[in-house]
Amino acid sequence: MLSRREFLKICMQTTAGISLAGLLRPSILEALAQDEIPRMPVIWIELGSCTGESISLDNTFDPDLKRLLLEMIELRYHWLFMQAQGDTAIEVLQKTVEDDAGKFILVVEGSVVTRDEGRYNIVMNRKGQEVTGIQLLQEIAPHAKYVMAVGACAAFGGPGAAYPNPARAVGVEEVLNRKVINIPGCPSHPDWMVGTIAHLILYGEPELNNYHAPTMFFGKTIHDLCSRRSDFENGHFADYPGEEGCFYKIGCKGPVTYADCPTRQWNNHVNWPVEAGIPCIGCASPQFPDGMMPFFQHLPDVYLPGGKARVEKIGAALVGITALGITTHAVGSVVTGRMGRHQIKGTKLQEPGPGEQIPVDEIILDSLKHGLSSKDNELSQELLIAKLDEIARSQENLKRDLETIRPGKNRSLLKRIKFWVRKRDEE
Amino acid sequence: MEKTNKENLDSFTLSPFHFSTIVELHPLPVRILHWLQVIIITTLIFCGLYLHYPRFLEIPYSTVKYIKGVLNFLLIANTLVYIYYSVISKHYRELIIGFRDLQHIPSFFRYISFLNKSPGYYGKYNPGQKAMYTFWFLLIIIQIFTGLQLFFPDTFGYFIKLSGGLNKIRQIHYFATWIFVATIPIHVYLAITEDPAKLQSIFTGYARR
Repeated sequence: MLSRREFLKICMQTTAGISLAGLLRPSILEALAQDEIPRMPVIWIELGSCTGESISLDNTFDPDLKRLLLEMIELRYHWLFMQAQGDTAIEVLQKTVEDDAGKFILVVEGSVVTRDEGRYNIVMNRKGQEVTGIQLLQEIAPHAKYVMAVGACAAFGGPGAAYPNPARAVGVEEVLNRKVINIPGCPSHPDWMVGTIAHLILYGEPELNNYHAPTMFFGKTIHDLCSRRSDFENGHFADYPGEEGCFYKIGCKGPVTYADCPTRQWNNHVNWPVEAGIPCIGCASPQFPDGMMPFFQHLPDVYLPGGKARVEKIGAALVGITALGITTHAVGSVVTGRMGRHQIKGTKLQEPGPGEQIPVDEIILDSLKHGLSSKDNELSQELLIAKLDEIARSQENLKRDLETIRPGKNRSLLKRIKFWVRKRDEE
Repeated sequence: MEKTNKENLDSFTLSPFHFSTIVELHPLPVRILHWLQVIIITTLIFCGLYLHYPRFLEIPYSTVKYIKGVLNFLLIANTLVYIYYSVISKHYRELIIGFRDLQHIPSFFRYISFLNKSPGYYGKYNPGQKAMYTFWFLLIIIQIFTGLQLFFPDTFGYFIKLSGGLNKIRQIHYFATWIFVATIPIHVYLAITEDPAKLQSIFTGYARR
């Protein structure tokens, strides 16, 4: 059997044009034949989605991949691939959940529709009763050994949860109390799905990143792996899709998207978006698509109460307000003569105006600071100490006076009232 | 130049502004830190705006990235030294706005709207200046934090998830840069027109009173 290190090496290898399954299949078959690993039952349910993941898996021309998938696992329930239908299929599903509890992998495709208890997403008709997606998921998921959410919708909500999200769709992890292995992407690459399932069968849970996506496929940004990275570093930027050069200026989301598309390549390892002349739209990002739109701009729009705006526009507006403020103040300064006065008398510091209230202690402090900081003062240190002493003494006197005046705890009620009345009189 | 002695000590206490002295407004560390910050932040703003949308220049992108990468860490170092100096010298009391400044706000607004001819007594900085310096301090902290997250996305994975992904952090970082671009001209304009003596003191350190 392959060691885990070798397995990861194969998964992360950068040879384009060779499928992952072709490399994995011989050793997995060997391990299966020697009974080193069990054939795991898999239940694949689909909630609110476009069947994109199943189609992505089915679309592959690679014979190894399909064979590997079918040899490696026992696909018990998949509404698209299974031959059984109606009650028979649902019986198999029920039987698997009951008999193989804690042994099977649950693969979820599509976002969980939560509005009105999920009634906008009926997934099956069981014994004459309609079963909603969220109901089925919460029924099966606690019995599964691993839960895999494939596709952007299942993993993080994705397009199903995009603004304004009328169905209140969410990712699978948000409605379950257990760890979910997320395989993002719209759709997911077949290699990502099959590779993760193979890892689950061979070695258990793979290493996951902060968003619970396997790091063997989602460990580096597209930007880091990109074949046009040198264009980026040298400053060769394309202004329109289809041109030569880096698509950074027209909103490529490669720098913020963790996926291995540049080395993995799509459509049976033929090509990928940037080589085909279109910037990455960041479909493997957790914030896809709201956080990645508009696709041909760097940054998402800012949603304000009055509508949405670009950051540059808001920034320019702020600069405009500043310019207006400065102009107004400059005109005011010239008209009132403040500008001229300041520039002519500017060699001396301005003095505070007479009409303003000046806190006494601050003046004392300030004068002391002056005495200390002025360059050519003749205030000797002794005088300064004397002055400080004086202030301290006067403060202490004041405190003592206050204490004698203030009604103490032992004073009689009458005296307290007298004191209160007198205070009122004085005021 | 009046002589300070025991006889006129009282007048010294009560009217400190009748003295004609040379006052040190900005000590040497403050001046050095201030001008370093000016150079660093200005370069960072230009580099950052260029990195966000490269145009006009025909220099390699990686060069700009390298300059910005170095200055990022100089900014962090300089800010840390600034914080250290302000705390040690208690300079932060004059820089950070507090509840004590609330009482000065009416007179400050009377002054800036040309109702009063001369400013009130505010200490070293007026409430407007204090508010702006505090705001900039917070903004620099935000920039440093978001910048570090963008620089080391693997180390700060937890915070990136918390604040809504790399693209959101990029947006915050970029927006904060625009706020800098919009507020720095106010400081420059007022520094030049308001009090030339103070303008001189940020270069020389001293002003005549």
